[in-house]
Amino acid sequence: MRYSNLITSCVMLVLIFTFCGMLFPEKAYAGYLDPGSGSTLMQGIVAAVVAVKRFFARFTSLFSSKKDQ
Amino acid sequence: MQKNQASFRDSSGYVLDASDCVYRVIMPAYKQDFQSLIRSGFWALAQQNGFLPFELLQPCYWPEGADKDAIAVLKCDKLPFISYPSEWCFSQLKDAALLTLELQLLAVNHGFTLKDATAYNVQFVNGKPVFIDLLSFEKLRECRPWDAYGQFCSHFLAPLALMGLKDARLGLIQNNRVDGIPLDLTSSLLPISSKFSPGLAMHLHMHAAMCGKHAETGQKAKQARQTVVNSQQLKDIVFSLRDTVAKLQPGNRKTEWANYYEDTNYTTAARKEKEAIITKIAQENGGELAVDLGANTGEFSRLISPYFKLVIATDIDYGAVEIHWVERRSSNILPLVLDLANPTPAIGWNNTERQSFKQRCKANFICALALIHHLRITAGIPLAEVVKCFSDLLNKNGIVVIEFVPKSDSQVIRLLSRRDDIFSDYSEEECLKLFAESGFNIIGCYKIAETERTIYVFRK
Repeated sequence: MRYSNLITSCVMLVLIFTFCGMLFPEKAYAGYLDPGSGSTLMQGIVAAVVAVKRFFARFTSLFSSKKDQ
Repeated sequence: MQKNQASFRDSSGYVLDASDCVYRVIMPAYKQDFQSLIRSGFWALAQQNGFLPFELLQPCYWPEGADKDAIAVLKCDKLPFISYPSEWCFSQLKDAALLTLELQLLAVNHGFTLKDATAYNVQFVNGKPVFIDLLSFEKLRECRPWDAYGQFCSHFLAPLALMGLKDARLGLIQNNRVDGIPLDLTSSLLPISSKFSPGLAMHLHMHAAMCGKHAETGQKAKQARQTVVNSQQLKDIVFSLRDTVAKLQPGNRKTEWANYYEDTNYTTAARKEKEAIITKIAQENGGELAVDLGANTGEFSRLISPYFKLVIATDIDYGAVEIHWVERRSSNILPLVLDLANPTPAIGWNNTERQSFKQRCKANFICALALIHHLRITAGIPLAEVVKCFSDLLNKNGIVVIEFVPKSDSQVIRLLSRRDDIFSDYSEEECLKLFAESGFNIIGCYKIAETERTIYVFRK
């Protein structure tokens, strides 16, 4: 049980970093409000976490629907 | 015609305040976004979802004072009163936050985004939050993050978390911070348990740490400017914020004044008589804006509300205002948190960006029932100052209704029991003299049966 939790955490971390890495290609923009570097970078992390959460929700729903059948 | 003092940050346009309406002058900087909004019909859709209705004016109807370079002018109704986030209870701020997120979601779904997310963009009209900044939407640039994410967290999430998880009075920090509560301050004030809430841990604690770490310009700033967030990810961010906001609940609801009506010295008959007197006075003196000072959960605000366009029901107690908003809401009553002994100050740039309560409130009718003894004895405000304050809050010919509670009343005896009576000016004779000296005429006097109290009506 403990190993499966550890593996799940590792997979989540890898996925988060992968998503974060995908979020930083060359792109520039301008606007009237200073969005702040920290807030901008944070959005990448939030988006990645939500994506991972959704992935796991879908993944687990596959098994639960199979179980139901 | 006056240019609104808060309307200077965004070069897209500015606001002109007229006596009966508000004009929003759109400048060339907003041309592309304006054309996209008109073409797409998105503004009309937003209006069905809590966006302030407006009318696009033909150039021949443009007001004096509109810039000659302007590309368009919008006209909308003038709200009887503009309230500020520091005057809202928890649930009002939460309603405003959820409206902002709903509009951002709607915008992203239609290829637009909110370029700012300040709580000052929301007002309450007919008991519902309404988004009033007509130029806040812009075209969604592909893969661009939400510029207003940090602002949303400072203006909404930070005060909501502090008010809900720590103490509702922490909402007053907004009185000192025109651009929301700093995230690092919020993070340091929140209880440790908040770090176990995934939403708060991410949007407040981790966000505060990221802002602190990347405050300086340099490589990370460059990296931040290259961050790409697609529209699905933008929606995910809004969903995450919405879940986090929705889970927050108001905290300490058992407050000093929330159960006030269970602790008065009125008999049922006296109470009924007082209600009849106040209703009659309101009926005879109805108008645009009434202010019920010390309204508690709004029992008397509801009695006078049929005779006014809007009643502002103020109380010092967050718990009372929370109950008023959540459980006893009326469409033309706006409950607000206000300490009359220390009202909302003017803040922001040049102390004119956001006006004080006194500058914003020009009422036709003031109701101050069983309030003056608290101002005089508990807060130590001389009666002459109280009268001056009422005069400042009123329009010409405005009406003020006071319930005078004499020193022989059990509630005043209770207040004086724990201190020396140094309040020689606190008497009915002195009170009437001060109103007369300040230019008020007494137009009504009603003794309330079975009590020591008297209701006086004055006209300015």
